[in-house]
Amino acid sequence: MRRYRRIGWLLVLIIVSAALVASVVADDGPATQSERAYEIKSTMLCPVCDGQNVLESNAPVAAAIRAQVDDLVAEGRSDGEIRAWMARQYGSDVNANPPRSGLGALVWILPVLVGVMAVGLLILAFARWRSGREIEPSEEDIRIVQALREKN
Amino acid sequence: MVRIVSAAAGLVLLSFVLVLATRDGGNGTQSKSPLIGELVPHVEGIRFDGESFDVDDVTSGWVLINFFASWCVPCVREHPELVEWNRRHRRDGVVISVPFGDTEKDARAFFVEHGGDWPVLTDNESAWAVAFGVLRPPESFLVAPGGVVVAKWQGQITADEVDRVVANLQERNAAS
Repeated sequence: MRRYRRIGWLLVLIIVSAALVASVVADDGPATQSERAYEIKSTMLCPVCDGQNVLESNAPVAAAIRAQVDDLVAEGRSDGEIRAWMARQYGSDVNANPPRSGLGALVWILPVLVGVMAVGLLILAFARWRSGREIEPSEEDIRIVQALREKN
Repeated sequence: MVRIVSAAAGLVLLSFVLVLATRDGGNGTQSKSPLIGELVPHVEGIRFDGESFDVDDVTSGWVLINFFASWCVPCVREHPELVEWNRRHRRDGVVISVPFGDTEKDARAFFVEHGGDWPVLTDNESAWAVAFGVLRPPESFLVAPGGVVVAKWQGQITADEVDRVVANLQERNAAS
């Protein structure tokens, strides 16, 4: 019975993992150049505005960045090249997404670490809880219980 | 177990503090320019007067590239200083004006009203503005003879301010 339950949980785990992987794979990025340009612009911050991306901002510098992103995408530059160029010209803060290397990478790594740790702790806690339920009473325990029953 | 969890939570908090503490300040990047010491980005186009212009042709003189807009008050205040600098450097320098965040019509009207007989070039697709990392007008870049960018100003400039940089560099070159 216990084995079937374990197999059941394993199946649930496999199905959930497969669904997560499928959802990530299915998101295969922008289909057209204009979609790609739009995606880059929506994650690029206007350097003279407070928290606005270059799509939302009316500042001349935002218009300049929008025009340049369109041009660079049309030239066939990769997302990484465009982001690196804009970061060189306007500073790394122009990219709304934190960098995936250096100290900024902690923003990406820490949530995963915390998630893994949380799952690990939960597994440990459940394992302890389950093993606690399986403890056989010692002879001393049985004697104490019997003595109490006889008293009552 | 509680100790491990507390230590892990502490580590996470410490990491966030480290990330926030080591970030660049919001204003710091605006005063820097990766262009200083580099060759000037290629600026080539048709002037408002119809003649062609290529910054690479100005090899022996100083070039003062000024990004401006007709609606920008500091640009209006700065303009007589550009006229003055242009007058002083007729033989060894040139001013280039590039409208930024402005229409060609308004930029033309600005020069009719305020004067200035130097090249004014339209920055199609804002390629030069991005290549120079311009944030807001007015911004100016001084290019030394030979084509290396030697100074950048954000905001209104004066002819004397620009000439101080020119004189310093000339002294340094004479000494070396």
